Amino acid sequence: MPFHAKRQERLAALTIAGGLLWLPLAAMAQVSSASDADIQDAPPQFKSSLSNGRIKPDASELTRQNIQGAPPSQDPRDFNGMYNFLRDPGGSPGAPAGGGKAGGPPGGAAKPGGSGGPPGGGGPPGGGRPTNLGAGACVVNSFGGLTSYSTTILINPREVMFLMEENHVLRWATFADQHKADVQPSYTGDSIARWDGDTLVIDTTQVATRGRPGTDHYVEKAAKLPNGNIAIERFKADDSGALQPVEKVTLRWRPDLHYVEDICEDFGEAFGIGYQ
Amino acid sequence: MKAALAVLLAVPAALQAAPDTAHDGGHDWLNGTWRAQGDGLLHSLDGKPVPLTAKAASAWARVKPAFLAGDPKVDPARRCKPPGEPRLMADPGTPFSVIVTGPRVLFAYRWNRLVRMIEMESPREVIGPTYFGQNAGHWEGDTLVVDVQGLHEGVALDKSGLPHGEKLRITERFRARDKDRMEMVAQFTDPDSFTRPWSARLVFQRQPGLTVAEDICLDREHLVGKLIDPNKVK
Repeated sequence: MPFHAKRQERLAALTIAGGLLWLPLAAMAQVSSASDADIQDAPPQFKSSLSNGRIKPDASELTRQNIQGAPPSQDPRDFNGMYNFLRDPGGSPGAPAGGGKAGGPPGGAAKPGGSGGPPGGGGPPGGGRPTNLGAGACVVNSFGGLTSYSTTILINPREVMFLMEENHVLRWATFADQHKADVQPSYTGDSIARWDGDTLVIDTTQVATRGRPGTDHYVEKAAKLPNGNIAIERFKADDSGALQPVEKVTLRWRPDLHYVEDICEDFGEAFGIGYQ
Repeated sequence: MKAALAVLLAVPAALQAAPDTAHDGGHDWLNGTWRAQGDGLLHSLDGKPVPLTAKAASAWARVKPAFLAGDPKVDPARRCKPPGEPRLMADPGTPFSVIVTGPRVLFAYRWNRLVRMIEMESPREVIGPTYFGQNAGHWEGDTLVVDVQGLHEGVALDKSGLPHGEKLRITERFRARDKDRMEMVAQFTDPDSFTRPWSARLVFQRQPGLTVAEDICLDREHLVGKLIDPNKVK
């Protein structure tokens, strides 16, 4: 479709640059091999490091950044911003748990735009043909994880929202003392938030998983680090109600990113996974 | 005095201490869940027909009956594609919540968890087009002004399939009519589709107690079991 071709064309260079930046150390040699064209198209605050100091961003680029280029707020409770994820040591291996990893081209093709995180989010577990149930079908399947594209956090005195760019999964928590009485099970559950010091605690009940009966109860603790990153610990209640650690994730502060629309249903149709 | 104190104490402690980024300038009125009033169609404020160019009028005439009939072959929204803006906002069947923060204002729609991100900064280079366009917002007093560009030309402006082109630019002005009603006046400019700029008004009613519940269009439309065409997936 012309729509996607255009978006891919305009974002490809930025994606490459962003992806290079966050590759594991073993692959960092590729950074030094980035071409001048890649570097010129990279977010301005990264040009210097990508080019080993040879290329400096010009002032007009930086001022154009506006809110996106601003440093993180020093308020430890101000989580507003854009992030992508970085799994902490000790977290479970593989993709984030229950990510609702819907959409995207099969075979793990890189997604245009977004956070430039690790590719391969689309397609079914283990690769192969996309299926209707599971990773390739543009539906939400289980607890909304923090995916490899980007997460935007919006927080105000009433509520906090985690917006996962991939398949636009919303995790929404209101600052309330108790869960609603009439809440029905859903894949993202019912979330309430509170502050424990400067740690944001999100309690989520009624979390359903597609294809499995029953619901789960999660608790997440999120704290802002001095560098603007957000460290999140996720716990899940076992059968006795005791909280067991599930994973640790760090959301990396990414002031260079803009939210990019990700419409799984488009990718699905383009790759034969759509309404026919 | 006692009553005021009691109300204050009733507010959860966490809420009192939460970041105050939404309250610069008294913009809290916009927070909450809203639902459009009316018929979901855009009507020109001057009472005249929408000033379509001949080409746009012809295109609209071709698709309008099918759009109004909900034909999935013609209306992408019936295939769970985003209806886009302002069509989705104008639909009385689709409530949406607004979250106001300092750097961003988010419109979160019940319809398939779609969102529209308004970044509170000057318009920047367009990356797109996209279904919800590139939205640059600023406050003029208590009025939220949003500059929209980069809207995918395959997105109709309303449920009748009202067309536009890639050059469309919308300036929206959101203001509170009273504590429970919001008005949005939008000016549409697109030399390829309209012979002159024109404006439309939408009015929204606050929905106390309503939250935007999870919605998965493919489930709702019972399309999950009908999606695979094995011959097209290698």
